[in-house]
Amino acid sequence: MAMLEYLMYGFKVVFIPSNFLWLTLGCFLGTVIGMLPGLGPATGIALLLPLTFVMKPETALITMCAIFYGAMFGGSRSSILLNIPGDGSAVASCFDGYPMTLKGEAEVALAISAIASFIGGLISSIAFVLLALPLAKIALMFGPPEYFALMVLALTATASMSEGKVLKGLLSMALGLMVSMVGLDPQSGVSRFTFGNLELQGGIDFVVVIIGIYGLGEVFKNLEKIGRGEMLQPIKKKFGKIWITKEQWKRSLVPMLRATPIGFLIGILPGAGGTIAALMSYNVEKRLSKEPERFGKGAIEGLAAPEAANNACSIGAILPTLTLGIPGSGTAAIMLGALMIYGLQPGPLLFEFYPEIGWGVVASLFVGNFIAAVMNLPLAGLLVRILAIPPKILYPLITALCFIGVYAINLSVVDFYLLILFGLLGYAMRKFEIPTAPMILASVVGRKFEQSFRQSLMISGGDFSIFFKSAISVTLLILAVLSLVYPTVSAALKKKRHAV
Amino acid sequence: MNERSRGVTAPRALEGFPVKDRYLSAAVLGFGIIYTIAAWNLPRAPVGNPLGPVYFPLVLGLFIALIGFLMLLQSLKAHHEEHAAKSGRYAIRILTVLAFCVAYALMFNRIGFLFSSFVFLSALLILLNGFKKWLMNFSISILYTVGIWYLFEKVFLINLP
Repeated sequence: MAMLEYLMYGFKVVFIPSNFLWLTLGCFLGTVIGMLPGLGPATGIALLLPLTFVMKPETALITMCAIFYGAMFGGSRSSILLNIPGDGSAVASCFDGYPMTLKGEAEVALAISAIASFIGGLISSIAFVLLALPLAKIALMFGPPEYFALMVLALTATASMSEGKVLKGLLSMALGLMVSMVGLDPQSGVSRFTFGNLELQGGIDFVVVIIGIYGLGEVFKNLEKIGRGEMLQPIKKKFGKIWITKEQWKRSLVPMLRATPIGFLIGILPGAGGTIAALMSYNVEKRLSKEPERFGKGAIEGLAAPEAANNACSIGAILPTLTLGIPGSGTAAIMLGALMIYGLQPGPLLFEFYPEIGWGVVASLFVGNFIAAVMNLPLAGLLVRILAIPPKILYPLITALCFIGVYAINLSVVDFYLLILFGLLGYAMRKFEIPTAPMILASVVGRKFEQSFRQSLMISGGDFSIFFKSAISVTLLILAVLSLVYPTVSAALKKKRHAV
Repeated sequence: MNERSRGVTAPRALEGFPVKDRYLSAAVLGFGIIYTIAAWNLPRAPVGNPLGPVYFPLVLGLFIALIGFLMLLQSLKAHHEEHAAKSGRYAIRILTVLAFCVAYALMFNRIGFLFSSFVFLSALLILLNGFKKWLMNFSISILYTVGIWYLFEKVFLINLP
């Protein structure tokens, strides 16, 4: 079993003190970021990105992954206690989590959500190990036309699935591609859309885009809410023993096991993220339940399922990011961007040439999920006090951190103006309900997208049929078309049904 | 249109576009056209296919214009009114924060990181947290500024202005 050997090697990497320390810190930060309403893993990782430049790449990735699934653990805390999802993917945890708190079962709710998150994460990590190498081998067969087709699929799927608004998703994607057009064209040396500005010749760093859209844009949006008194609800601070009974465990086990594969698969697919995974598994449980009337009134399995699903989804999303270089979600796109900054090519060779990174990250998923679970069970009572930090203090701090984070990338103040610009754009996009994930994804893969397109045409001498020559690229392109057509068709069908 | 189509039961995707989207889609359409023209006027490549660097932006511009056009069509069908948000007070607050940000960018290199960051964060905190809690605001600002400065200068070995 070569795989086990690799994995053991990965564990050795994880238990290097500095890596282990950052892993723990990442789980903690992720939990906190996930807990705070309005701050998600994407914002958290974006803010932390500049900090990771001084780390070794494997440490950086381990930390980022930890923040990602840590946030899935934390997101449910505020869903359960306040009925405010700490993060989009914790929406479904409100449905039954908050009623449980009202019934006086807050301890059980906190416990089962941490346990479900842990189980979802653990099983997905095993699936990750089994699938990583085969997927990476498939990626070896990819040439420029296949990569182009894969990116078309990733972009269209993200655009069409993000929030059920295909046109706005595509618009967001186009904006991201536009950002990646700025700068010197790597193939011909022609400068494009730089407006004669020397600083723009190197292109716009997507870290600036990410921090602008997710960091500053989020702050602008939240400025509207401050003072509306949303956070005045008192938080329960004293807890009994955070644990569950045998009967509650029995009730939740099967739903958790059902929700995990759902979440994992949705995570691998580009586009659909934790929110969809959690909602879908919630609906599945409700439909399969013998007593669906209990759902929404504090059914423990209605909390266990989405919690397992969103954790499984976050780990699923990391899989294609590392093996294919195609991120499964907005947050994963940021991680892909980070990989590229470290000068690493995600994909099959990552596991071969840099086993400390590939397998270190894989092993960290196991250890990290364990740490996050421990953190969220006995320490839950302490951690939720962070929810008491008033946003009035939090958002000024985040604003300041956005600026200093951007400064760390290029040590240039020009990026400050870009940051403000993208912050405003992010705010406008939220106002007009334009999804932001497609733009982030497009701005990260945009350059590669164009290059793979032009390289393919160079190989074929300008013949477009090269995109339809291999079975892989044809399949991917058909899937891309389907991903665009499906929401429109299904919406039209539903409309018909409603009209009748 | 009957009542049902604006009913609460309709999924989000079916609700059509709010009226404010008319302006948005018109802007997108206009922008797409301008971008297409700008793409066509890009310099040609000195080596290889002269149109090489032009194709992609050109298609992108046309694509944006097409999206704008389709959105316009959809938004013209929209019929339900926006519940107008009382945006006045937030607008002023956001503009103030924006002004602070620009001022920070202008000050940063001139008066240095320590001083500009302290002023920036204090200003934000006073705006949002109120002047009454000045002691808390100033202590947070000092802690943040010195903490970040220490992290950059001593740990990352990055020089701040």
